[in-house]
Amino acid sequence: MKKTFSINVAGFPFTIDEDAYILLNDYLQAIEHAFSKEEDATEIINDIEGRVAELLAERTAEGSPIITVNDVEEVISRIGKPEEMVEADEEIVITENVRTGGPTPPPYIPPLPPVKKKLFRDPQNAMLGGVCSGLAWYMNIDPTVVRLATVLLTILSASTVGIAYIILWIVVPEARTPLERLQMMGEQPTMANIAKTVTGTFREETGNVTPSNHRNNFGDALASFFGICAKVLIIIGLIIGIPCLIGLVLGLLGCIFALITFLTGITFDSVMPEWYQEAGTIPIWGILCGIGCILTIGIPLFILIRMGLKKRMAPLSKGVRNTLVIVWILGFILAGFSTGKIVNIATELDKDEVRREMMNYSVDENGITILENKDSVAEDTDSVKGKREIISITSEGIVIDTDSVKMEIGTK
Amino acid sequence: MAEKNKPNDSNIRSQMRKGILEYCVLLLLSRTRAYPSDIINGLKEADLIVVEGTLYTLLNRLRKEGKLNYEWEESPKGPPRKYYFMTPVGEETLKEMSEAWDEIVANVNHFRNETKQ
Repeated sequence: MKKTFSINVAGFPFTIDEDAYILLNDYLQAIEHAFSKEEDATEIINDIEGRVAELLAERTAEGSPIITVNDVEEVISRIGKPEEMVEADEEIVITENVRTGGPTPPPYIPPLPPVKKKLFRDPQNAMLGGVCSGLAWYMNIDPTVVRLATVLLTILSASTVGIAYIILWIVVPEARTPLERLQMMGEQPTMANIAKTVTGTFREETGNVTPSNHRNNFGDALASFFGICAKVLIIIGLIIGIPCLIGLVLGLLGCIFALITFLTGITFDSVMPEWYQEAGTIPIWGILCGIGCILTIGIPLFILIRMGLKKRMAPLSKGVRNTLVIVWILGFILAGFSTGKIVNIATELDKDEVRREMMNYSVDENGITILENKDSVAEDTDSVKGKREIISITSEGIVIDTDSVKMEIGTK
Repeated sequence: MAEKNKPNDSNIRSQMRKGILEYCVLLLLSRTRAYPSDIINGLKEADLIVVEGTLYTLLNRLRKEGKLNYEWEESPKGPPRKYYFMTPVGEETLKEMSEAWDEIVANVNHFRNETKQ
């Protein structure tokens, strides 16, 4: 028993079984990939798709109405592999295999130069973003080891590794097409290999992590364990991250208000809580903090919005992506640094405030009398506890009266 | 003239076929306008094409060079088809190619006969 799909290829309707559908889909994708650099890519691709449809229509007219893998393979061998079609490179690698109809053994492919492995995220074996699995392919080790190391290092490094993970998640592209999967695995991009990535036999052969339905119990348990770990890490990240985010938003608002005040002269003193006003009295650091905040929030927001748009937009180019990441890191550092500065200055201001509050002074017809309670300022001065210090400034002169010193200046 | 086409690697056949393919496509289209599948069938009979995909890139290139053009035409079954036809530039090219071909064939035959004796 097999699943079948109804598909439409270049305007022809077909009924196709599952395996054949996957193979056909990948073949067309591989062609698209091969021609993507040509000027009239879409036109050539459409032409070839039209031909695929025609050949399939011929076959369904003759035999079974449902297209099978055999039909698709026959069509592929007639139209040719993508690398045989691209005309641009002068050297055509064509095997001496003139087809005269009927099935023939798969053509001999001369040894190709070793493939350069590329780092991709592996969505098929992903626990979270597929970063660990992709790294595992890249380093040719078991993904479980990478996951374990990531979780451990995240804990040990106070989530620096976790942040690195998120950055990799953003920066490293996902292996979407079979060709990209092969590049990720470091395998030759031949038709046979493409078919293997599709049917999933690759992982079994290379002895790597098997797809979910083949996973053994131990692996299964481990995998779900790390899945839980990842989720716990995310929750911890949220607990730390949300207050930070709130702080950043407040900073951002402050920056906007400061800008309005600067431009229009309107002040918000009456509206703002006192603590917030004080933060605003630190102009340069406030502005720097604001810029840092805009970058730190704005860039991930921008990426999230892009991802949220269901209509797929053209993926960001590598350069843009890397710049975004670097700018984000700089913004983050700027925000963190200036926030630290502001907190520093704000506590200084606070101390002054405390000192002022502790100084009692009274104004009467004689002048100003400052009464300082030594108890409260004991930390700041070396004066003796529990004694009162009286400084009175009158029209007659200044009197300083402490336990150890009694001074009268200009009194009668 | 024949000097620059000297093949220097093992897949002589495919190299020659590639050059000849262009000539044959132009020949076919000089007789009648055709859509790609007609052209493929004609070339298959003459055993001149290995994989069909190469034809589409070739047609695209010839069109860009101004030797061919196409127009859409309704088909009895399925979606409309592209019918290719020759342009004056293409006819000029074909004439040059035919002359070159005759020359090469004559020279090669002459040479082969000489070496046989």
